[in-house]
Amino acid sequence: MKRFFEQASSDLDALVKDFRGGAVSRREFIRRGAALGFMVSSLAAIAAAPAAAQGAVKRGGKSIWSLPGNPVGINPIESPGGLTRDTIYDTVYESLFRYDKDFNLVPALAVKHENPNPTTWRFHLRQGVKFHHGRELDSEDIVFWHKNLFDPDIIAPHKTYFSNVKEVVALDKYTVEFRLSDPLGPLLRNFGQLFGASILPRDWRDAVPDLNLHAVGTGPFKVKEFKPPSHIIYARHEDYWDDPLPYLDEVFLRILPDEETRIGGLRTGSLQYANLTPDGSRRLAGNKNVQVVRTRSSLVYTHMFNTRKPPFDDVRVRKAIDRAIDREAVIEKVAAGEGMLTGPVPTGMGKFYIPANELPYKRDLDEARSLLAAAGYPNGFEATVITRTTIPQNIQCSVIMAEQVRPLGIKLNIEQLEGGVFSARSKAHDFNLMANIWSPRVDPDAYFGRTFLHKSNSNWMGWGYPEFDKLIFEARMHADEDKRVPLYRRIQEQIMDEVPVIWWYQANIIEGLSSKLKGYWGSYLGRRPGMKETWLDA
Amino acid sequence: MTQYIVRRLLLLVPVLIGASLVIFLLLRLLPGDVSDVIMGTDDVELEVQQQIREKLGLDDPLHVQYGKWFWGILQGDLGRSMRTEAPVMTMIIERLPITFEIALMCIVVSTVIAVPLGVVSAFFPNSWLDTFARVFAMIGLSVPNFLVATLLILFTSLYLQWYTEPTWVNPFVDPLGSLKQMILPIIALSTHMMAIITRMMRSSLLEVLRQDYIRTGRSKGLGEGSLITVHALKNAFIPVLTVIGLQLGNLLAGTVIIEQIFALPGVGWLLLHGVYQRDYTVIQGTVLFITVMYALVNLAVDLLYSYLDPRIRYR
Repeated sequence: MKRFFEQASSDLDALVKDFRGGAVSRREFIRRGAALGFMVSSLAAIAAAPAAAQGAVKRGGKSIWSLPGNPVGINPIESPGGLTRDTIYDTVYESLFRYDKDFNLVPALAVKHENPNPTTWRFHLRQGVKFHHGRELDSEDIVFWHKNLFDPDIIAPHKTYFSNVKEVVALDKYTVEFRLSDPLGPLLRNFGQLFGASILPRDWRDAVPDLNLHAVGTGPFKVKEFKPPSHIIYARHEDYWDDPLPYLDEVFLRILPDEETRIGGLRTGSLQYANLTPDGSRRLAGNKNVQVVRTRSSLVYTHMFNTRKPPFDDVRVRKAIDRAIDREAVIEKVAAGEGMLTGPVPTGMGKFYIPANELPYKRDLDEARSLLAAAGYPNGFEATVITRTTIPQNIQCSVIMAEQVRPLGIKLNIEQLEGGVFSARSKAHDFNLMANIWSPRVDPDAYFGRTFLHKSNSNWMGWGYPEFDKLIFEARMHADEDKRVPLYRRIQEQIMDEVPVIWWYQANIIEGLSSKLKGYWGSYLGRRPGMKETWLDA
Repeated sequence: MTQYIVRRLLLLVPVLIGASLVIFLLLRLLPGDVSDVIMGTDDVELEVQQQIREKLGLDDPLHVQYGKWFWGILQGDLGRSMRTEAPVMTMIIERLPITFEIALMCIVVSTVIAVPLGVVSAFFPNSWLDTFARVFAMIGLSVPNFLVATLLILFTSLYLQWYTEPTWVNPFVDPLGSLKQMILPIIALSTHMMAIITRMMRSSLLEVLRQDYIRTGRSKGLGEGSLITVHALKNAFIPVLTVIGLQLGNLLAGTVIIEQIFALPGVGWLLLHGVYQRDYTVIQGTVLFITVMYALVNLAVDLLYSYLDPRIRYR
């Protein structure tokens, strides 16, 4: 429905432009304008029916939400951490495209695009989009975005998502042309992902002193105040392009790392939103003042083998571990059922994933023993697993894994490390197994194009080879998703056959909301784009 | 006395230099730095990481890094956060009111309850009052304060539907609101402190009550009330004062876990996040601040000794 309205808006813009340019007569303008207006108003009434069914949408009000951690800084380009992304992407900053509630890629700041040849993309910007400081977005801001991202003085860890973009040229006030060095199939999806893709005004320095503690974007909310590690306050962006959104006047986000405090807040009503663990959500079951929203996300828990050294340099040993573990048991015990089996590409990521019932996971201890014996470890071995103290799911997966492989004579020593120590050990490849968490992404190239390129710094496993890299590059270059799907199928099958990584499960995002909050929807990416459609039924 | 105070304050200088050197070097021994934390384990580009290290001066020789930072301290500048670029001094000052409020309220509540309890317990040994005081002290010492904090949140949210304010309430602006906000963290922190003070007061007073001068006072016909308040309490209070001073120092250093649980952004939480983020300037600045607080509290305690016991004189 939203896509229809966006298209109608674009058609209306085109009609006005044609009339002003003399391409259309006054009579024709009135005729076509009336037809558009009638269709839009009819469908608006139909679209409003579901909202009317849950009560009329109420605009206004202040709501108090919580964040599970401190984002530290909110620079959309230079602060790449997960907490920063979840806090500001989609709410404060936007890009040319975005993902809707059904995880469809839809226009955001760009309403139309063309791909005349594999290395050229043309984007037509939405007209009338205002930044938080009041100026309208135009094509020079997109040119600035590119220059800023690749400025040697700017630290932009996510610029690699756009490293094929050689040049961005403004063709007119609302049209930009991207000229690529090589084809880049996931370009549009990368905009929707927002990593390094947030659009800033070129004159942001006139509006705010810095971007660590302040923000200037086009999103539905402005940052009124950011006081780490206490809180961040959003205020409605009155000139937001997607009128009449957002509905809330203000959202006060308290930084509350302790879940008990968040649960207490939901119970008493001092909080209206909180991220919850499976256990936390169960404790709120039956509370009529709280509703729990569960959304499948692309957040995945993994263990990575260090294939640079024994014993996991031998694929038979890795396969033996793979045959010995029981992923369903982990989903039950660690995630309390709030998860599902996954392959290298999480379920729900376009057409790229392998359905859970086609995954080649089977537990077979006899086969595991044979593999170990063939590899020269008939009596097992000892190995180290490193995990972070701040991710309990990684620790729990490691503990269960250690129990599941014990019958093979394998002893896993689990080391729980503080974040900085974990980073240092992982970069020094000082581990046998590394428990990790794959933060939500939108395109398989985000995983394979980084973690599986055999010389990549993010290739913790030390696994891969040039021929496999070629497959990844080939899959990356097609804009047509149907051409990429079979290539990613081959990539995933090859990876699962050699087991450099164990994919435990893909987790649900669980969010607790006050029953007074309506309209919210959870995101596959674990962010909060649904905040703009949320309203307070106080 | 003035000379003594001036001498103690001047002694702070070598203490601060020593503390700054120790914390600077210890931090560099920790595995990982802020560039590792920023890059995480998602998309690691060594070139970008190197850019971060160069921008923050992490590749400079250690003596250069220390010299730059120390030169800033001499000018009253504790540097800027490596993550947010906010001035460290500003970050500490913003959090001081919260930490001071928690510390002072905790000390006052603990002292007001524990000292009389300890006195009564010592004065009526083996009575039900004494038994109550000793059991109370044992529980306070055994139960960790984070467990008390969690139980309090659970109880007040489940049964009292207690609403909490989203930001710190200034006690000078809204005293009742501030009390409501602080009462749970104060209870959580005070249980342990009260236990220590009660036990110390009890044992110290019992020791003093056995002294000859107390027996002399009784034989001269002094009432028990004036014997305690005029003669015994002051002497018995000296070790208790030492304990209170140490506890106050700990509280001013920030009670990390309690601040985290109750979302009170005090100095402790600033230090903890600094460590997680490997934000060297924040950690260094905060540790120096805590060192100064400890030194000043110790000086205040030493000066109070001479008030309590006129035999103690400082030159």
